[in-house]
Amino acid sequence: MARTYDYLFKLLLIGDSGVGKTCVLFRFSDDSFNNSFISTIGIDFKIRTIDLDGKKIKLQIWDTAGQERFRTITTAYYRGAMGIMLVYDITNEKSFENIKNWIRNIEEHASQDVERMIIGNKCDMEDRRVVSRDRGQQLSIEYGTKFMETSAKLNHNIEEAFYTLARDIKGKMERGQGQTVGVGGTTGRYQQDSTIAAQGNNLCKNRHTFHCDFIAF
Amino acid sequence: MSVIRRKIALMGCYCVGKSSITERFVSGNFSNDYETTIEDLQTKSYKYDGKDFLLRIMDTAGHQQYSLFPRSCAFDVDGYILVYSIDDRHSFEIVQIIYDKIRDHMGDVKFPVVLVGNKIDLQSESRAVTKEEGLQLARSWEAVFLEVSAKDNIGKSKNTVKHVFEKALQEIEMSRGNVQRRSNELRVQTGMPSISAPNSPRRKRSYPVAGKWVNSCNDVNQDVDGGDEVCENPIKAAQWRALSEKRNNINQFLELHREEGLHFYLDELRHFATTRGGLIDDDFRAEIWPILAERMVTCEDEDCTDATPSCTVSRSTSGSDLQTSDFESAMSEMTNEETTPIADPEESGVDAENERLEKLQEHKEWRQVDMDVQRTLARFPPNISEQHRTTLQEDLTPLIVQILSTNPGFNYYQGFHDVLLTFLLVLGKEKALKVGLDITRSGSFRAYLLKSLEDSVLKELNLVYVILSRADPELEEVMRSVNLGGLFALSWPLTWFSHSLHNYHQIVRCFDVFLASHPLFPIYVTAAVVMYRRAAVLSVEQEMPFIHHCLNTMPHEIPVDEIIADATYLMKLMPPVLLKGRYLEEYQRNVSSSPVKTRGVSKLPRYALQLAVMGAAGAAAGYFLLTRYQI
Repeated sequence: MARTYDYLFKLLLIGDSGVGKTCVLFRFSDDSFNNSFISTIGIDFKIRTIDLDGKKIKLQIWDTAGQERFRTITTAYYRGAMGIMLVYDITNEKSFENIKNWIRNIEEHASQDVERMIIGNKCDMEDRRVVSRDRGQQLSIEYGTKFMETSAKLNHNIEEAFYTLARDIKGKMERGQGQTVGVGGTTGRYQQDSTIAAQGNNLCKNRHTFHCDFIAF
Repeated sequence: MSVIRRKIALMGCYCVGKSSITERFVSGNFSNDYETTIEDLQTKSYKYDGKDFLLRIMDTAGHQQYSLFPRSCAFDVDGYILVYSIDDRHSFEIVQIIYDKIRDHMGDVKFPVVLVGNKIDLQSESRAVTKEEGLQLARSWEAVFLEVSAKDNIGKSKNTVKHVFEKALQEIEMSRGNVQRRSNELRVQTGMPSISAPNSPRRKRSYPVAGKWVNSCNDVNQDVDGGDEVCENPIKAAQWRALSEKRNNINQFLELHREEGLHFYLDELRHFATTRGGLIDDDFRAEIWPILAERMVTCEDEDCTDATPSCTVSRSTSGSDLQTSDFESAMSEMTNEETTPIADPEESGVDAENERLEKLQEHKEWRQVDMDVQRTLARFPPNISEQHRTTLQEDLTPLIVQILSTNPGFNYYQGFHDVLLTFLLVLGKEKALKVGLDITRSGSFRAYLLKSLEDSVLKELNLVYVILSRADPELEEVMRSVNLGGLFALSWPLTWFSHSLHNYHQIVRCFDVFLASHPLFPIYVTAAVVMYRRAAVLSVEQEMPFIHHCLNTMPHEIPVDEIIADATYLMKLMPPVLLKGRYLEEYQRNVSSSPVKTRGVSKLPRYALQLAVMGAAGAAAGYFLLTRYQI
């Protein structure tokens, strides 16, 4: 099939083990939810194409293992991401506190201009809530990110979250394009991506790729 | 008026035009360019029968090397559109396999399905499947049949892509009782004995050995169930006979030597476990696994000594990177463990049992383990009762934590629970604990628990590249050139493939051979799986994400026995000592002296010839495996 999209955005889901990253992703990519998910070992992605202000945007969304032991392994994938969703579980204090650590991880390993967003998942479990909406909001203000509470189970705010993140990336990209005309270079990454997309050469090897260094002995 | 949401999955072989059909329906376009689909969900609002529908259309990956029936197509899908191309006979065969997969998943329940023969614009040039054949197949499924062209979507009113989706919707609504069948229905009528093949009754799995649920998972029983198929297919029949014979042999062997002690016959047991079919029966496994685990094959070279230290050494070395508090609590648990070796729940009273449980619950990893155990639903064989499953899950967490608490340096990793679950399913909890303790006493699992994953499993996975560079240099170069790394296979050695294989009997078959083989054998199996997927790897876009995703998705139909045979062959050609020593050094030298070229410039691996000269055996391996899979 022909190139069915105008832009390709690479997103990444991170957060503590068990906060529901895989469920959030499956809800968005397959619109399904079931309780039989298994823990994620390693990393993989799913794809969904969305329509955004007349543009077809292909989202390649990477889901990562949340356990501490896999953290350093997965940081190798941060670099290629254009948007990162930090997910915590509103019924799990620790997962909320750890958002700080995840942010630090992003600062160390992701590219400077990556769009970030904080997600408080499982908001269907109001009776077991330990992290108030306000605290989530506060934290996101502190880090200058968007914030949403979601429920993958009830399909609450999932679409909105991904659309918002995609819109932010698109906005940043288009602004960047505007600036780079005649200036050159400053937002080369996006520039390159969209130019390539415009040429229809979606197999181009120059597009930034995810790097991983494990083959180096 | 409320919108009705329906989800439809398009499935079929690659290149039959699933995405074209979807695209034609969703946006009205058609393009001649081709891009492999991985998986995509498109939505379209559609008015049908006076109601507003929101159709979510799942365009699946058609490449047969991907799973024919991915997980995402198993849940929440309201109806299926199975597509073949009228100019491709193979694609017609594939839809039949896919249909069987769906039916196996759904059980006896009838599900809405539309069979579509695409590309009728090519019918005058290259039609390979007749309309009658399509019709007949659809009839045997009681499905609707249509021939269309996503390209020239102008045909008669009944032959457009729009109709495909309308028919699918109609089938869905009919199956829900929302719509009545119309009299001038196009749907293929059934019950016309003169034309349609007799509807073969859906196979019921009957399990000859009653009483224990585990028997249902035995390899022989699986084949026995396919009675009709066995008769039809001479190769299958021969395989089945060989397995039955092996089963009898093992049985006789066990009866003959059980009393004097089976551990005297380790070589014979290992032979059973590693050869075709493995240990075949879960009853045999329950008896033989503990003996194999007690005497695991260990590394013969010194590289492994750090992974197999005596208990005291490992405690003192690994204790240093622990928090003091953790260390102390773990030490106290360990002392406790030593004084009461393996608690026998029947002898220790309920109080003691509770106390033991409370102690374990204080372990730093309890929460994480329990969370993972709660998420193992998908791993249980389908025939297990919910009650039994819950009991097993309740047993699993303390079992794992008890093993973790034997060494304060053990750091739990997600996936270790998959390994223990397999033992629990086959052996029951007492034996599973014993085997769990045995396998963490030396070898890979000990290294995974003691060291960082970078220092253990990822180092092992690097050896996959060394194997491939000798057995299949072209494939190795492609993988290296996109910086693939070893992460796609992370769970394979970590869980002995129990996390990624789809069938219980495939998993226990792997465990048979791993319990009886060198600790690095899972790495050879990893290499063999990659080589088996060669065609798929080379056909996707040569970029890291696509190759990663391709390999990371384990196909349902993977021939485990053949893969194990290949891995055995690879290990013979490149024994672990050489692999970790000379071959690794040579590989590193070659890689650093000839850094990888940009993809696509040259298909010829730069040092292929060099390698062929260095190790004719390696090249032979590549040739052997290549020809094998191309047959």
